[in-house]
Amino acid sequence: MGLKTQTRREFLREGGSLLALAPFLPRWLQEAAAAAQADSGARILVFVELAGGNDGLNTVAPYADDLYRKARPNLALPEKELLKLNDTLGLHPALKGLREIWDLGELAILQSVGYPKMNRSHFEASEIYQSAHLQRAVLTGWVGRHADTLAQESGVTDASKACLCRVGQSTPIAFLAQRASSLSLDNAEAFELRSNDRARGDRPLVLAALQAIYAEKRSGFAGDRLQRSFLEAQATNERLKKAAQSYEASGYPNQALANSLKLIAQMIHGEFGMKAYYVSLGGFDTHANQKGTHANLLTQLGDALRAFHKDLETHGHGGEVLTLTFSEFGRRVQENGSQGTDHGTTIPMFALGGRVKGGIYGKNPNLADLEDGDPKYDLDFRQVYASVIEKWWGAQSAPILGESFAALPFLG
Amino acid sequence: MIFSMHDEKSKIAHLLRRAGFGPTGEELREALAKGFAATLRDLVDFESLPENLDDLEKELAGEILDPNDAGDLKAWWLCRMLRTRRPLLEKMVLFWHGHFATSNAKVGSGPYMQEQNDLFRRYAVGRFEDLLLAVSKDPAMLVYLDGNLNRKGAPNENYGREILELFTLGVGHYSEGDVRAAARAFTGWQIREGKFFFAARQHDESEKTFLGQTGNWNGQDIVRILASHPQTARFLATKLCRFFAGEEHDSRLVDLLIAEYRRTGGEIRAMLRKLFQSELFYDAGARAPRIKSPVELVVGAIRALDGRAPLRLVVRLIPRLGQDLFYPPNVKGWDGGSAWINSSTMVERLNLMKALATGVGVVASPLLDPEEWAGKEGWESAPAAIEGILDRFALEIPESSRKALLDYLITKPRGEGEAFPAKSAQDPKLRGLAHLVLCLPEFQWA
Repeated sequence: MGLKTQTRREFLREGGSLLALAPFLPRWLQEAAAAAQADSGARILVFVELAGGNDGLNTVAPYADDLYRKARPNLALPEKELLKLNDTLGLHPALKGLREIWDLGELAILQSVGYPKMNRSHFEASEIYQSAHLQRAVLTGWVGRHADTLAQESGVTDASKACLCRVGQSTPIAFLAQRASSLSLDNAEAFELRSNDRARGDRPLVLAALQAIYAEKRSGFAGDRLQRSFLEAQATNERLKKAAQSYEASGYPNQALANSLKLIAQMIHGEFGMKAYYVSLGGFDTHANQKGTHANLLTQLGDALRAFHKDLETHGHGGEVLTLTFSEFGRRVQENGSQGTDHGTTIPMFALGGRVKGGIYGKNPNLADLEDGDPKYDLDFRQVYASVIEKWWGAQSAPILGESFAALPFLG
Repeated sequence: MIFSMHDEKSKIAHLLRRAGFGPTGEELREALAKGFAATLRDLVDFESLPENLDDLEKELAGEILDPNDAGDLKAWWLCRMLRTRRPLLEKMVLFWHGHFATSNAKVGSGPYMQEQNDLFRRYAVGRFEDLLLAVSKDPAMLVYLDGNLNRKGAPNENYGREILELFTLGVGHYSEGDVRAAARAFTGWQIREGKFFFAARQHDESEKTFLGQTGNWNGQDIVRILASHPQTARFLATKLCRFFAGEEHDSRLVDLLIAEYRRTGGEIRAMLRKLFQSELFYDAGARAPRIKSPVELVVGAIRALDGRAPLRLVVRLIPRLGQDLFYPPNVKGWDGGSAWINSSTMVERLNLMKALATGVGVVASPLLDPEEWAGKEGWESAPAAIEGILDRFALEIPESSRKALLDYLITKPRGEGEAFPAKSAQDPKLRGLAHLVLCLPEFQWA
């Protein structure tokens, strides 16, 4: 779709005003210029964390199952309110947005995802999902390890050029790597250098001084690193501003997750070259008074994902992006005495995108065959990752996951 | 910028930056007056200087600290780093916190983390064996590496592995069998009522073969064997050299420290004394720019500016630079060195310097008083202000950077306003100058 925005190729071709400023080009710009011509269809992952432990059973509810209603006299969702997917399952009513993507055939629901001896500690379970290691080892993330393989293969040595981006603060475990690095940003102004808010007239002078200071080469490894990072930050800032300014987007609700996804859409359209993005929605640890909170969160999730999906399609990137949600664990089948649920086991994962083969994958949680009161898992989460690594990114999954896991057919 | 390596002033400044968090204006003057030898002695044999906790009280005046609140805990420690008379001690506490990395994200107890912090302070420069034994019994560590769950018949290998891999020998110097033996030796080392407790019935008393030695080993024996292992001496010496002398130091420094470890039975203070006395610590390699960790950067900035720090704000902002006290990312601690710098952290670092120098939003930073500077210090002209501030920071910078600072001071702002030295320009321009100086590469490294 031809919307007039500046792509990375155009930016590089024009030379960009920044290049005239710096006495030397950061190496990544040179590499990128060369790669720009060879840039083929991107395959981007957007990894969405539902932090706190999402109640899968009320997200994708087995409305016809008596055991569901028996275990949850207060919390079970009324059949008539659910958004029915087939004759056994219905989506939580707040997920209208996801239902629309389901109707397009572009939402895959992966049921009963887990792993052997599922952990119920936030800290540890989250590490497991993000590192794809069941035992604690020196921490790297499954996406980080994939990025490292890419770095190794392409011989990219400049580790300061990021290919992973966290919208939010700090690098998530999933993106930790030996060599590949990530960007973290909260918003499009994240790379803006600040100056005295009470002396705005001085600002251009402050920026000019900083640029002059960092234009001078300092000897040694550390000096070089500081200088390159300063220049790269400036370049990123300029590109972010351009990407945001010229981007026309509508339909995004005004909430944090949607704003983050909109920024991601802008960066995808601006061809920032990120292999993966990470964003987190928190608050799912609903031990008490779950009904309102969960509905609220799922509304945010469904509406934000729907807007994102539509926007990507509008800008011609529908086939380039795969969005995958996860949570560190599900919640107990049996509701507790506080109108809430405690830490459980399996989760449903959502995979959506223009190339996703919609449908239900994996067996529904069998409420008649529980272990310690909670469902057993059917799909190992590493099968989901194997599917992404092999079918989405076209790489080998065993070296990254430590073992071979059978990929699932939701990506063809 | 070439300066004489042997110039005493620059040696002292280098020592104070590396062995501590950088001097306050007063400390620098005192050190220059005392001379190098006395400065070194007072730094290393710091017991001769009474630790004045009144300073701490003054700094925290009006703040009620809740030991269960992570932010308060960080503010408390940051305050110690700012006001201590024993900077090398606090720097070693920071070093050990990174070495025996323990995160409150798992421990979940402010008091345990504070207790561990005090443990590091108590054992920081003593014999390594004593420190290692104390850490093995420390409640925060017992929670973090599952020592508390390690029992006979169902050993948990977490501590057994990390004590070998990360705390003493390093990868490649032990076998899986050694990990298992160590785990069994530490069985029964638990917490009861918030304190270390040896649960004899949970302890595996059988014979174990550990690093080629066989016996009915208990945790103490593991600690003893490890502390006297030559590879431990090497591992620690290497880490200490990297921490204090940067990534480009002469490798002979490591050998010097290993020899000192052996000679003194693992006394950390002796190793540090050797390090700071050696000419190799003052050569081009050791003086090569070493990126300051976020904590060092911030503490150094506040100290150099000699002002009252907005502690609670600062502790909220430091994690954005990649270092969250009491919350290391994992048991490996922080990689440090150039890993602190990427395009995101670069912006965060420079923006935090802006917050310290100028403030946030409409609130001016209490950290500096431009009127006082211009008045007391006599900075009446732009060149005088620049020389004054560079002198206070003991920084040598390229001519082009000096010119950039000068241009900034004497150019009128866009719209309304005067340039320095007009009185109305003093506040914005001097704050802006401080901001720029803190952003210099020369300040970003030590």
